[in-house]
Order: sequence, then structure tokens, then C-alpha cells
Amino acid sequence: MDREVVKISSLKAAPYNPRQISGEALAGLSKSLERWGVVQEVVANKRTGYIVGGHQRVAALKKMGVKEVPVVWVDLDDVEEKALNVALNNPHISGEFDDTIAGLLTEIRDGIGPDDFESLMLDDLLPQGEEVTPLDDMPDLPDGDKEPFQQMTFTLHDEQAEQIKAALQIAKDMGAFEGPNENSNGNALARVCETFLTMRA
Amino acid sequence: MASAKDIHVAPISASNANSFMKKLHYSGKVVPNSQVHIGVFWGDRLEGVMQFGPSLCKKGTIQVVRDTKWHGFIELNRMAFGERLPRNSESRAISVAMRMMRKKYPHLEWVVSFADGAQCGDGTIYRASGFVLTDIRVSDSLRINPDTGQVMHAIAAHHQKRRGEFNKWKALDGYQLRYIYFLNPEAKKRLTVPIIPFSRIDEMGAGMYRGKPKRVKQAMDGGHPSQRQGSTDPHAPITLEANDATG
Repeated sequence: MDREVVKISSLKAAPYNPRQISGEALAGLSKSLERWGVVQEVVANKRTGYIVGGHQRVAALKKMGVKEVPVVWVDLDDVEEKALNVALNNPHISGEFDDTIAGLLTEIRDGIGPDDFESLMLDDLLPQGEEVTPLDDMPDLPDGDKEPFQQMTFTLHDEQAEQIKAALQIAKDMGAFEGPNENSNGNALARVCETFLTMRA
Repeated sequence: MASAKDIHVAPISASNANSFMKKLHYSGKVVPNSQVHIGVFWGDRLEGVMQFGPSLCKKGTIQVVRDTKWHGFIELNRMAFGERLPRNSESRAISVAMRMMRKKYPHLEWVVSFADGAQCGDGTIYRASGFVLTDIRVSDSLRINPDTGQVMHAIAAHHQKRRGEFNKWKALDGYQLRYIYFLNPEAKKRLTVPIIPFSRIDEMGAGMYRGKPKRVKQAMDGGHPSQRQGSTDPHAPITLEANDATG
């Protein structure tokens, strides 16, 4: 294969080239070429003069006003040229990123800065969130002050627990409770304490 | 160029929020009593979540703002953002979320949140989002189990009845910083503690980055790119043994 630097205007885009690029992606490619230069030669067929690999790079470089580009020449018939055109961009033979790409991208973004990171469209490689349907409204929350009730917790020896149960039962047997609390154990305990405090007074 | 103005903020279900949080939050855990779940969308994808709920230390925290009613404040207890969101999305998302909270819950006067320097960072995003700093204290609530190397929060130790052994473990080095956002600006006048200048974080050596002390230059530069990492700030590579309480 011959390698040489040629005038970019001498390269012809293959009329059958199936690869397309959006304006946004072309801008990203241009940023990449600005940053790192042409680090991969354009592939072209000496028989037809058509570009085989590198259509987008050539388009970007032309827009950038670049006059010359390194080329590697292949010598292929029509079908082989088309096959190589597709093979050079076949995603099924080019591998794929694994999960470590996220960490690598973070490191790169920190290193080159978010502006360059985005303009190179590296952000599009970051892991994508899931599709989720939002709710129509937020839930209601309690308003105002705390309700005048609370829970208390104690640690008791088994024998103490039995004593308390017995005392609570006696308090309950003394009659119905009055007041806003509907918890019978709480009411019974309060009655026991009230009796105790009265005795102490 | 992607812009934070293009994000969409909307309420989401608890299950969606919890699923997201388990994947992205440094703790891998959720706070079970979270009540309000707000999603941050980029396109049709969920790329960030904020979870609000009652403060775990409600009796103590309520005293920070005098005359606050029992249900008059809420805690932003979990927050995580994906890497795809444009720059400054965190502060934009918080700003929108706070507007939503103010509109839906007029009885809420303020929002409290904690930056966990021992595992995370010192709250860069809070500072960029209009929170005021009200406390910097050495954190001893996260401790390392010497047998497993895993980290446990004091509240988890309490719930698991392991407080005795927990108290013998070594605490993670770091500070916990308490931030408050006033939904009702008038409530700010009732603060019972002084507002601490952000510069105090560095003066105290409390600037934290990924659970390690920051160089002073980094501490207040407000740079966001490496401040995401699925949390309010980057996290240290530590796995939690059980639910923790701070975000």
C-alpha cells in the first residue's frame, strides 16, 4: 500500500457511501481533528480515486480549510472497495466499551475540562439513565405542630415486666378512662403514676 | 451545547427514586422514611434524584430555627446525580425543587441537609445552591468495623442493637457540615445559631474531597465537574454495612 500526502481537493467521495453524519457530530469530529490532528490516514482507492474510509474526516477537514491530508492508497476492484468501505465502519467487528468507560470519562473530563469534553461529544458516552414516567403531583405532607402524643420505650427485667403488666391490669379494672388518649396501656400507666405521685405528695 | 436550563424536574415514585439511589448514591442505601422524591430528567431519562423526609434527629434539629412547628421543616436526606447531566444541573435542579416544595408545601419553612465529609465532600453543591452553613463538627457517627473493614452509621448501630461494639470502633476522619435552605426567608431571622462563613471550612481544615482533606485551593473553587459522582460530592470508595443517616 502506498502512503502519501495529497491535496484534499483531489479526493472524491464515493457516491454510494452509506455513512451519514449530523451537523452536531461533524462539529465534534472537527474539534477532535483540531485537538489531535489527522492521526489516521484517509483510505482511498487508486483505481477509482474514491475515498474508502474517512469521508467524514475529509468533510470536516475541508470545512476547516485544510489543504492536504495523508492518504493510504489501496488497489481494489469495485466490489472489494465497497466491502472495505462498509467493513471499516462495521460496529460488529470493532469491540465495545465496558463499564470502566464511566470512570475513564470522569478522569478525562476532569483533565481536559467540561467544555472540551462536551465539544468532543465524549459526554454522549456516559452511562444513560432509565426511562421513568414522572408523577402528576407531589404527595401531601402533614402540616402544623406535633400531635400531643408520644411513645416511650423502657428496658425491663422479665420480673419487672410482669409487675408492670399486673399494675396496668389493676389500673384498667378501676374503671373507664377519660381524656383524648385512646391507648389503654398508656392510660393505665398514667393512672398508676398518678396514684403513686398522690401517695408521695 | 447542553445546558442546565434544559433539564426537567418532576416528582417521581418512591420505587423509581430508590432504585436510582441504590445504583448511584455512594452509600448504595436509601433512607426508608423519605416522603418526597423528585427526579431530574435529561430528555426522557432519569439522571438525578433528590429525596426529602423527616429529619432523623428531629427533636434536636428543630431547635436550630426558633418557633418552627413540628412539621415546619424537612430534610434533604439523599441526593444523587448522574454524569450525563450538563454542568450546573445540580444547583439548577435544587433551585427548581425548592420552588416546587415552596408551592406545594407552604407550611415548610426550611430544608436541612448534611454534607458528610468523612465519606463524601464538604457540600460544594449546597454552597452553590443558596444553602447557609450552620454547623461544622467532627463526625464520629461513621465508624469502621475492624473485623470487616466496613463502615456503619451510629443510627444503624442503634437499630441493630450493636451500639456497644460500635462505640469501640475507630471513627472515620472527617467533618459533618449542616446546611439550611430557607423556603421562607423570614424564618432565617429565627436562626438560633450563627451563619458560618464558607471560608471557615478551610480555616478549620474541614474541606473534604472524596472523604479526604482538600488542599485549600480546591476547597472553594466551586468547580463542579468532579463534584458529582452520584452524590452531593464525590465519595470515598467505601461500602456501607447498613443504612446511614446522612446524605
